[in-house]
Amino acid sequence: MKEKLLAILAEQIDMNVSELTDDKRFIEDLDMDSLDMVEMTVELEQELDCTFEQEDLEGIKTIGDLIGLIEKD
Amino acid sequence: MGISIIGCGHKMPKFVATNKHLEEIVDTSNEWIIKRTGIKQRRLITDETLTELATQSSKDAIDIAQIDKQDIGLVIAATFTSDTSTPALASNVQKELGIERAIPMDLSAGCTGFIYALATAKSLMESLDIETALVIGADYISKYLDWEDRKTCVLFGDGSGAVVLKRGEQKGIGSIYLNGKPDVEEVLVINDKQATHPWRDAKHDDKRIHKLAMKGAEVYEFACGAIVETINKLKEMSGSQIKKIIPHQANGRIIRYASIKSKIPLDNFYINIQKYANTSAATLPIAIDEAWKEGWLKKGDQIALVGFGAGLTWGGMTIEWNLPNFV
Ligand SMILES: CC(C)(COP(=O)(O)OP(=O)(O)OC[C@H]1O[C@@H](n2cnc3c(N)ncnc32)[C@H](O)[C@@H]1OP(=O)(O)O)[C@@H](O)C(=O)NCCC(=O)NCCS
Repeated sequence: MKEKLLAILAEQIDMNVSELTDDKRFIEDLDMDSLDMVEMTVELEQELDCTFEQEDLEGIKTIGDLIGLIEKD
Repeated sequence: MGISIIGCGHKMPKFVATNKHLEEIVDTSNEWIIKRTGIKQRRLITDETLTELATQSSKDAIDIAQIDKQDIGLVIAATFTSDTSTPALASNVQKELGIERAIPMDLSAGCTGFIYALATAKSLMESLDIETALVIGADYISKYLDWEDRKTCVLFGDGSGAVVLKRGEQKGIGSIYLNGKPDVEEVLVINDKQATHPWRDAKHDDKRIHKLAMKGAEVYEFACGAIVETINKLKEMSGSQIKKIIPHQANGRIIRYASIKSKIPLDNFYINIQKYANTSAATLPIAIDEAWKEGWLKKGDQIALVGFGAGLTWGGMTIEWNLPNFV
């Protein structure tokens, strides 16, 4: 699951998977904005066949947070 | 036999509100608006009426089509912002144009309204044996905007576009895909007026009533899914490679996303959101007219129109563009 998630994210933001460590913050470190975050969730929902609630996503700041959320489901 | 677009026109209000104008009234910046949406300015109705804009865009479409306006048997206006709740905007335009007999009606399906209206016009032309129809997309959304809400007021503008449809030998409109689902979370809603008779308790009426309320991120997510789904369906249904896409102009970022996902280069998507913002049901006929007059749209092009919006509604259609290149 984690590998797939990182692969999807790496493709979306055009970076190497190796750069996407758990501590990376989407906005500050990966230069994403809130719309990139929405696009990322659309991708993940399609590719991982899951659904996210907007409230759950609000607390997600780092790659580690996102992995935690997905593993919880 | 098919149904083709044989004329098009558009008319915008004259007042240009730039992002700078909005900086004066809400806490926003030109940079923020451009980065998140691609919008640089929008047109807002000041002393015009929507009927005037819709009538002028229709006159231009009729001139291009070189038809006698009395031949128009059907007038459909995609709108939810007619100057008069009744008669319909289509009836107002019929009156202004002086069309003695025709079937006029409005169609409300949010920003997908123009797609729904083209599909409805096509069906009625076939079932009622109507040769020529006028289809308008026009909205005066600024009257429903909350001008203190920076999350919404920066996104929209007013305007009108129109096309003339005619039955003939050419294929014209091809595959049509329409869809809709309930807006359970109320992500895009304008509540209407309530009755004020003495037996109704109006104490609890929301004072923001009448204003557009939107959950931006949720709408963005819906829109990204809907635009890609529609493009994929149309590709599948038409069995052909769609070359150029005229998408609803809601946010340039949504169009960019669609380009990446559909693997159709961004240059093959027509974009004019920077000038007009989101004019709801009017974006598509305005874009069609500009795309043709700028030479972007050429005779023989296989194009797709794609829309999405309140409802929630979405859909699109393929069209073989038959008008000669504009000179
Ligand atoms: C409207 C839209 C551009 C907002 O982008 P977003 O990234 O979702 O923005 P958010 O609402 O999450 O807000 C992010 C931040 O920017 C702020 N912001 C919102 N609008 C702003 C504006 N005009 N200027 C400056 N800042 C703004 C927010 O207040 C928020 O700040 P905060 O984090 O301090 O609270 C985007 O959601 C969108 O385009 N949605 C689809 C809208 C649409 O197409 N509607 C019509 C469909 S037919």
